[in-house]
Amino acid sequence: MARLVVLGGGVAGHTTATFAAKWLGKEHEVVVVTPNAKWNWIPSNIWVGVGEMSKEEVTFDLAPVYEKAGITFKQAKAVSINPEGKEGADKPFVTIEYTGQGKAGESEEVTYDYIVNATGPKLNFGATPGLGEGSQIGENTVSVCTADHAVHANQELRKIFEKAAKGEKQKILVGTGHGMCTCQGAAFEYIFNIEHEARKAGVRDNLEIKWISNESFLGDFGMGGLHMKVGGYVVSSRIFTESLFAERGVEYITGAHVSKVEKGKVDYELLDGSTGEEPFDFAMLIPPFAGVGLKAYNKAGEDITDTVFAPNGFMKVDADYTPKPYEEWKASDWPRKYQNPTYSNMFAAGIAFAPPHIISKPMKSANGTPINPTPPRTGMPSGIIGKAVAHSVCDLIQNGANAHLHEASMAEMGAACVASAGKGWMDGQAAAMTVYPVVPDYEKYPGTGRDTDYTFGEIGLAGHWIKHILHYLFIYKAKLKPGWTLIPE
Amino acid sequence: MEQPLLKYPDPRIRLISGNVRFFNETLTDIIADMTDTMKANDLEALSAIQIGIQYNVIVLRENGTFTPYINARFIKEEGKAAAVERSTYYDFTAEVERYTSLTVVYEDETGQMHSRDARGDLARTFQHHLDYAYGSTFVDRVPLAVKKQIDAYLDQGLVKDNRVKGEESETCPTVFVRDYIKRAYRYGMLAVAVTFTLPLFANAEWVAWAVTIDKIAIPLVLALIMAYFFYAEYEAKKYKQCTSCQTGNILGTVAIGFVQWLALSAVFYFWMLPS
Ligand SMILES: Cc1cc2nc3c(=O)[nH]c(=O)nc-3n(C[C@H](O)[C@H](O)[C@H](O)COP(=O)(O)OP(=O)(O)OC[C@H]3O[C@@H](n4cnc5c(N)ncnc54)[C@H](O)[C@@H]3O)c2cc1C
Repeated sequence: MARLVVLGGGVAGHTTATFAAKWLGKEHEVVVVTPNAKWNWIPSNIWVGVGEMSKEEVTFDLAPVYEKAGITFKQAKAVSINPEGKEGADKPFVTIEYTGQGKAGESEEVTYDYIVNATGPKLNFGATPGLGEGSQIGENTVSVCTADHAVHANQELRKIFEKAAKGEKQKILVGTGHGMCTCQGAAFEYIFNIEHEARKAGVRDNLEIKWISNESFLGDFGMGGLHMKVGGYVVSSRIFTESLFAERGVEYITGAHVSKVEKGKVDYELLDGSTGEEPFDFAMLIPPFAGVGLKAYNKAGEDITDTVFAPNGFMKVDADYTPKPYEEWKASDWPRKYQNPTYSNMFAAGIAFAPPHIISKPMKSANGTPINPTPPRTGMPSGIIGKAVAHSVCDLIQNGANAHLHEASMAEMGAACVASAGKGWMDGQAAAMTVYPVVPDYEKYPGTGRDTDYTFGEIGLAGHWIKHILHYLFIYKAKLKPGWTLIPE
Repeated sequence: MEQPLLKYPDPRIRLISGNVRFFNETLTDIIADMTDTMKANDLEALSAIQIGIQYNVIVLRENGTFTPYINARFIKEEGKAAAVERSTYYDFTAEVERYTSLTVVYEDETGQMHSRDARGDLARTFQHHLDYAYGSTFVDRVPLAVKKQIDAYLDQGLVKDNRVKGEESETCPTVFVRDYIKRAYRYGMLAVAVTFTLPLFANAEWVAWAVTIDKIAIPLVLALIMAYFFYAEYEAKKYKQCTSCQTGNILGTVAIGFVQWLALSAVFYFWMLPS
């Protein structure tokens, strides 16, 4: 009997664990180590953040789902990995610290045959002075990255709406809280959902809504831009987003690194090296992401964190990490198997793997401050990678160490972003943007590295419906209700 | 060397340009060709794509000197004003709203980064030409109504297909067959919906006739939606490298179609049948 330990029960980890449990059956054990008792469909947190959904609607208890699937659930956070075991015991293990199940604070060593690191991001609020401490958000801004953050964001937003309803002018600032953030898509959805709610509440006239982001152009989204169909024509996401901002009366600052946050004000540096400040009454700024800070030790107990993890805390996998200038970036730099090069029974999926470099064009301000989006690894690639890794591990367990590993390169994956711009069955709006491949392949597609022939979808109500249906579909899938395997990642 | 300027309806007008990554001889040649083309046509500014080169390069003529602006980005956009613009692609003009002041961040021909403030006409020229680099023209910046007028005026529309003939992409199709099925069931539903107005003015005989038609059409629409689903799934498998979310999109489309179909059936049942 072999044991697979999955660290993190988010999009990637949940996918890996549930598929592995299904494919491995009762003969082998799948363990999930994750600190929260509830699963959260993160993309719908946007709607929690504007009060259109409750926390309960976007989360559910993991224990009964894992019980049914025959997965061992440990509500704990992983602290360190010993891939070579320790003095006197060869079996590799992971040290975890319980956060619930009546054992909060207790430590345990969980041995494994295979391990998948799907711990997602550490929300690194501490990177920007005033944004927060470590992974804790500060008091100056709100966030929608977790369901609890989103609940709080909505409470603060309602206060702003109340003031605006009394005729007080209010300023809303939404975007990225650092020069090296990803996840612009989430902030983009949030700003337009706020705008939509403000119009519904009749307070739009008293709100000034502004976007601030590290993208070098509107619509970069950390992917160097996408494209979409508008009125039958293929249009760059830059043209489309600029039009949407103009149409909805939202101003923007691009190419910005937020350098400091204070109560009611941010300081920022721009690509041309100039600085500025922007006041606000309400700000939702996405923090930069880092790895969750797992440590690794060898058999002798020496720290080998640098061998297993990249400096940003994400796990090294089969990518080409040689530092290269922009002109030498290749699609083949990106990982295919997500296997750690040093320890072959160790994999990483979702945000937890270290990307070889960014996707957008690298940019630095005149003062040398990097101001460019870091690569997004959205829900879809996270799920697809999670499933491929589950496949590989199952084959390794069932067919032996020479089994063929499954591949899923982000340079061969398309992405479709259905971005919500307002919720409502009748007046909702969402934009469907596509990109293929996610990571540009300059050899196959000279110039942009992308195949712009591939598109689908337009902005409008239908887009919103799709987004809303996806919400139910994915929660249904994650709960492993009948037929869950038919629903794609 | 002077190069021919792209003219409507050349599909390359709609190509999105890539960033320049190599600052080498090829780039120098591109800039030289652009400069020659500008001289020959007496142009003040030119985007590389205007001579069919798919890279983000703009050359500007000021006081007789030609300066390349590579991988340009705008920051600090401020103020807005409308003015008439003319495209080198199309033979017409339209009033377009643009920022009156902005800062251009760009690279020179050695890859060195610079920035420059631009106001008024200069700011407008930059915006107009960067749009070209993004596969776009001022037509994408005008209100939808004006855009429709322009579209109607052009005999081939606004250039829908940006592929150059003979360069068919073998991997991913531009048009999926499933979209035709979708269109068919949508027209079907529309036709049925139209018959719902009959009881308001037509006589009983006409209505009875429409009911019979609807009785055939409604199941047919459902059958088409199902056909859409299965065909689309097949197509998604066939082209599964083209995007990872096709199934989600298909399910969404089917769900919407199904809800519309349910609504249609309900109206038929409660409104058409009794009348
Ligand atoms: C507001 C918002 C909106 C978004 N909208 C979209 C969208 O519309 N479409 C889209 O495709 N993507 C969207 N995304 C991105 C998407 O949510 C992520 O790409 C996806 O969740 C990444 O999956 P993951 O499994 O790598 O990480 P996560 O889902 O974050 O999962 C990581 C898990 O690891 C756990 N964990 C953390 N530390 C430890 C530890 N030490 N030990 C064990 N477990 C640990 C966490 O509790 C969590 O459960 C959005 C993101 C945000 C924040």
